[in-house]
Amino acid sequence: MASSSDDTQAHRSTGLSSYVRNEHLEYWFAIPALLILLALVIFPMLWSLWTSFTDLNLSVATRNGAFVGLANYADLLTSERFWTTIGNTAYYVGFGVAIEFTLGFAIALFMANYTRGRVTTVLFTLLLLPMMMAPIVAGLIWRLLFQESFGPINYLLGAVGVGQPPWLSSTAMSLNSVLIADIWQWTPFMILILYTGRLSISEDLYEAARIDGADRWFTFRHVTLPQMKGVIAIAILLRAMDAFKFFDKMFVMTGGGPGTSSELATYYNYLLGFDSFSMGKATAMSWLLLLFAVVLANVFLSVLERGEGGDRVV
Amino acid sequence: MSVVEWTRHRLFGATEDPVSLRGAFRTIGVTSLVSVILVTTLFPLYWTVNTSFKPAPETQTFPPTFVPETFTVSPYVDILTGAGSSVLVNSVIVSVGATAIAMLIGVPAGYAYARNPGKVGGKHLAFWILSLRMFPPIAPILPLFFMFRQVGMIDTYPTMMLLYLTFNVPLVVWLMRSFFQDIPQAVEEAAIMDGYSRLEAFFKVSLPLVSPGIVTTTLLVWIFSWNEFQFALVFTRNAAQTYPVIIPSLVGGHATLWNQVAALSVLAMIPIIVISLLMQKRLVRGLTLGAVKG
Repeated sequence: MASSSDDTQAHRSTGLSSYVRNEHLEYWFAIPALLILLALVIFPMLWSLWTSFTDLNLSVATRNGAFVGLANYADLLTSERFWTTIGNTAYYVGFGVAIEFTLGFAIALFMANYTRGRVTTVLFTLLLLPMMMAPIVAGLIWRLLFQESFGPINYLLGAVGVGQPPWLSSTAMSLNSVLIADIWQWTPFMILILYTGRLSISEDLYEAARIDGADRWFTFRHVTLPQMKGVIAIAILLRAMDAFKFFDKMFVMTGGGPGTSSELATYYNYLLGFDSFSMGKATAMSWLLLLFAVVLANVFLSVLERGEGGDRVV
Repeated sequence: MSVVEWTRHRLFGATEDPVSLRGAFRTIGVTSLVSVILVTTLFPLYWTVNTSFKPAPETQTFPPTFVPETFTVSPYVDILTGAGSSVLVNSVIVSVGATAIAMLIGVPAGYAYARNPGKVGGKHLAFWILSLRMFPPIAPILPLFFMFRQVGMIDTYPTMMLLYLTFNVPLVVWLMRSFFQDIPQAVEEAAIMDGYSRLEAFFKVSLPLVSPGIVTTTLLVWIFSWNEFQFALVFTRNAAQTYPVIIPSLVGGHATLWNQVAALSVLAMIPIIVISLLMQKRLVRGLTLGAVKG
């Protein structure tokens, strides 16, 4: 222990360095991150809030940022295209997450009950692939598969006599086709999270249910489901927020078309800013979208915070 | 040994049920369901690989060929001698740089929020940091574009690395907070009793103990940066253009280079496949922001 008491001597220094090292370590550790977020998110978002009340347009010299009150918001809320894209987003997020959850939960429970050892490992590894790849690549892959005249899906459908649906070029189907790609990419996310959650339930509970003579449905209803509430909420909320945030797949698959049939709200927001350069209207739209994101985020955080009372959500 | 029994043995190891008709049906059911899941997951990936080895005319033949009739690596050569190599190099530089900076800034902050949140704004500030990750990217993109344009910093590596901090720092802070919370404070206290300062205890005790968490976080942040599209679409033109931006432009218009864009996608997927193999279950914790501990 001689050396450690030497160390003690060496570090009984006073002054700024030990002050930084000890009493205010957290402070110095957190400051860079907080400053970066202040500079790169908070300050820009305040600028964006101000801009949303002005007529700033980067391509029209006369519209250089005069205050226009709520005109941008009023324009948006009365515009048909705004509501079309909001509707598309609601459809995309709602159906996407519902289908991904249902499929994912079923497959997760199937894996937990019926696959073992090497099969589980192989499934687990392969299921990681779709969700790890860039959404833009996933979208491209599905654009290849959905090729109307020479793609493999229409070839196989034609071969069994179903015909050749115009996956990406019909207004009725384009959004659904993007949805299919999303389901392919993200159902694995649901599977893996729900599977992990299911495995963390203590076997004792199932043993007890078995001893009490509970049937499968009863066990699912009264053991599996209540035990997995937290994980299910986390999985659904994370997925909903991501589906809401990104327009990557839609961009490469349909570009929002035909017309605006598959245009998502975030993409319309992008076009307002970088196609028509009307910054006022675009920032107004992002604040409207943020309101929605904040609601979702708050629900998510309250679920997470409840989990922090104990040491984990699952 | 019957075929069913053999399959079952290979697939599931020893099972407690004796071989029975019911067990056989179950094995067949399970095997077919597993196969359906695998085929659905893998066929799209296979098709991309398949397309990437075809000469251009063969990508547009009917019926489509499920195995390349003329096997060629020229799509890879063409894309790499064309636009592909510079965007891949840009992607490597931007994603590695962005990840390194995010880790440098985020790991200490994660530690601060794990050990003593009261000193740095409390738990609510930690939650607020996490909530920044849930912004739709287009919201910060609009004002940031205006600002970076004013100072003439569009389409550069440092800009992209800086921009990616907006979503990477919240992720790193939050995940590392969760990993540091797993390390009992007592080990640091013991080191401090031995005469370490808190900074030394952090570097010599906590940091080595949390290294699996650092690996998980680093890889996850890298993947998000590698795949990022919306910021890159707005902020890059040429010099710093990353691979996700040129993929849609290669399939737009009439000249559609399906085989080349498939080859580029395959190249972009290789690191993802390697990482998936390495990380396995640890990714689940990362992807759920530490909430689900596999």
